[in-house]
Amino acid sequence: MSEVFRSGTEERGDILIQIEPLTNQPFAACENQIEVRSRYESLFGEHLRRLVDRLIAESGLKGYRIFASDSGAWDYTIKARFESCLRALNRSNT
Amino acid sequence: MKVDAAFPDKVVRSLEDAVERIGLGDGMTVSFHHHLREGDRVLLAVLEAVRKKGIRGLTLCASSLMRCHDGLIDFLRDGTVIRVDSSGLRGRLGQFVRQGGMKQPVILRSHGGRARAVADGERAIDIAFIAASASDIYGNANGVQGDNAFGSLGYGIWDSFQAKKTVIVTDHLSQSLLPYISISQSHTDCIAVVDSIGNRGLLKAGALAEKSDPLSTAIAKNVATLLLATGIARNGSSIQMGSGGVSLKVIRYLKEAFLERGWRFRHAVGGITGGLLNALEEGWIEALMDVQSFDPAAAVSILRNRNHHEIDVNTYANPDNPSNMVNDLDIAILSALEIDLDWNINVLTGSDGVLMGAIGGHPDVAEASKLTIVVAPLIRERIPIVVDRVRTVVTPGKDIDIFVCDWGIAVKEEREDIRRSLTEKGIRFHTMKELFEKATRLVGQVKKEETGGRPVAWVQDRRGRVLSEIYESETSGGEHR
Amino acid sequence: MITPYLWRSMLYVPANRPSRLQKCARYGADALILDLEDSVPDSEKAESRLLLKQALKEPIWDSAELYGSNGGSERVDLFVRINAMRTRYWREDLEAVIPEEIFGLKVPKVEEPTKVEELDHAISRIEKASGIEEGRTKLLLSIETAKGLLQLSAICAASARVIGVGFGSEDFMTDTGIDRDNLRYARMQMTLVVKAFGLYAQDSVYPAFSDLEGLKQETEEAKRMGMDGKTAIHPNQIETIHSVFQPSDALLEKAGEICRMAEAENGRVFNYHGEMVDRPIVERYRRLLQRSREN
Repeated sequence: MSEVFRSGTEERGDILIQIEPLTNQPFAACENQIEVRSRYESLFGEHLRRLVDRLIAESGLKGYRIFASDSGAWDYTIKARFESCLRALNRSNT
Repeated sequence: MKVDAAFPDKVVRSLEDAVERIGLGDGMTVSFHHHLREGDRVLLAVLEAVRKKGIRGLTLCASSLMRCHDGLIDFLRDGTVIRVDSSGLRGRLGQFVRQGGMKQPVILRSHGGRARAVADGERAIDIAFIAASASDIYGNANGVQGDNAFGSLGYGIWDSFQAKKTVIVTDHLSQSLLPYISISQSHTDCIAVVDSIGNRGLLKAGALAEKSDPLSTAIAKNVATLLLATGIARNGSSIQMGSGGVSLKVIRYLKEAFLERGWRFRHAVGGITGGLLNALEEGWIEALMDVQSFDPAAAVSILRNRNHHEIDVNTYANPDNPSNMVNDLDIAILSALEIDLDWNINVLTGSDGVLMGAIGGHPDVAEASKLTIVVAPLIRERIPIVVDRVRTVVTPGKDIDIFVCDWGIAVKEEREDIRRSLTEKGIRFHTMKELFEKATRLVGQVKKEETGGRPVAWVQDRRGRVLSEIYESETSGGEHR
Repeated sequence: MITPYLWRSMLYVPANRPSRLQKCARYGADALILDLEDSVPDSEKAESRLLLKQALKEPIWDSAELYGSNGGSERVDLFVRINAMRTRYWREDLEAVIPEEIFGLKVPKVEEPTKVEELDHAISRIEKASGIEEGRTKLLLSIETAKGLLQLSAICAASARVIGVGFGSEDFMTDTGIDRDNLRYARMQMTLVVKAFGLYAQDSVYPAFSDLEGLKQETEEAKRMGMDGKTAIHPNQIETIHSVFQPSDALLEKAGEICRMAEAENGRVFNYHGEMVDRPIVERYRRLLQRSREN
């Protein structure tokens, strides 16, 4: 059983982020599986994906499934929610 | 005894009979009003009758179209209607138009612009179908009696003057003369009695629902401070308030100050809300000039209060009519979906281009009023309202003087009088550029897709020139609404 | 003694709701209390702390105040309510928010002067480590138990950071068994001690947020007791609170004198009857005067 690390909500103005290890993938050790959804897809979808990609790159995550469901969060919220997930994940890894 | 000039029997018992009797034919222009707003059932019912008669190729000249008119799509698909004029487009109908569902671009006009167009021949009306909550057998009609009393018939009255033929559609037929007459029997050619013209309970739905959003309270407070501290609002001013949540709260603040000082507005113009009805009763507004009622309680008020005047849309805002009421406005408070660095206003399309609003009287009021204030939050959820360039220009920036948002006030450079007065009172204000930069710093700017390609709608200015175009787009957008 | 702090209202805002955090500064409250304590469930403490830290870095804290000089944007006074010192959360709360240069902390369930000293030291350490002026983070203490009330004099004297004390009715009732109608004595006692130290006295929230008449009565009572302001649990309460806490004539007179002196001193810090007055304080009094003139 692998653990899911979750932060945020799907309320307006927030973003829900989930990170979980990919266990049964052949390339689990080197690839991430990323899924990003937004209530404001046509307006901010591109921006959101760029930001999430950047956060993942900075974190050095490899071999995880990252899911983000955005309900109009501002960037500071996206960063905070991502960092919360990351910290929970790091805590459980140590 | 005269026998050859007997009073005509105008009453028919179905819309199909009305269509037949009135001589509606292929390619004609039919008109409707939207006084019942989301509660209207007349427009689609008439088109249904038209279709049954096999009539095609109509031009629909509606004073506006609401979400309850999404069913119009069927009649556009099958060719019953091939041209549409309106003040607004929203919902599925808006999407249908934007995705290229019509061959002919929709023409979007302000209320004043439509009043002009139906009078100067640009859009001559053949048959006006006018929903009335009460009619007598002579063809005198009003919107203030009957189970579906909705208030002013301001758009309908003018159509009854301009149309070649007029059909009153009512669910309340009186055998005796009505005590209050909005549309005269002289203009009525046919009276169609139906089971129901709609549901007046839905009149306040949608844009008019009062929001308890604390940000709109903040904006309203800023507006009230601006109006009172600078002496813009004073004893004897005239005002148009708009129907948004902010306007309703501004009324509350102004009431306190006006009652305290014994001041009165000489009149309020335009769409009449419950707040303005109260103000009339409380005595701090002397008269209401009501072209459209946003509260069904207006019906009773028009009947009983001699200072509550029903005015037709020509008297309200026709630019060709110099003695229209907007020309006499001192203060106007209007809303916006977007405002840009040149102060242009968009009240029609979302930042993603989705048709979601209506022009209403916005450009009429803004151009005519001595002072025009636009109110909106700086940011809605994550969408910046202050942008570099609005998606669709509905009201040109030259007609706007002040923008009030939750972050403060922006005053146009040209209004040195107001800037000076604010400075004297120690009230801070910004430039539009500062607010734009603020919004951008907080949430960035939205991605705007390329515009261009085939126009699906034209926005006319008050005098009939094309002010902006709305282009075909595959994206449905609007997933957030 | 008149306190130099002029907050009629302070609005509680839950720190776990981004949509509220990014709007609340413009709701019109004189100050905000961003809450990591009661409005955040234990399971969300960590992520709310992070969210709040990020939010504090954003330029979202300009107040709705229209009165003031052009160009300058004014940040509303920010307090963070940390978790009580008997929980395992409070130290992490401090680490997260002190470096963001907030006005102060609202500290719940204060009972012992030694705890206030401990808190003072912990704050100083973080202030030093993050290179911000030592002592800038103020304390607004909340008295919510009988024991806390009895020790209030010692508590007020325990740290130079203490600028005020608030009353917490709900917990006080739980702690003592006193019902709402009989809290008057405790509120008055608190106010007396607070005034003896020249500090800011703040009344508790009125929980029934749609009952504005009840709120008005309780606020008027607080004012008659000598309290300086009241906390709000809902933005709708702010206006009612403000309508009661109109500045007194004595306060307006003081404001007038300070503004005149400030003009003569031309931007320099000066001494007003033993109170050091700097530019931000002058600005507060100037706004107070402008506001009262317009109303």
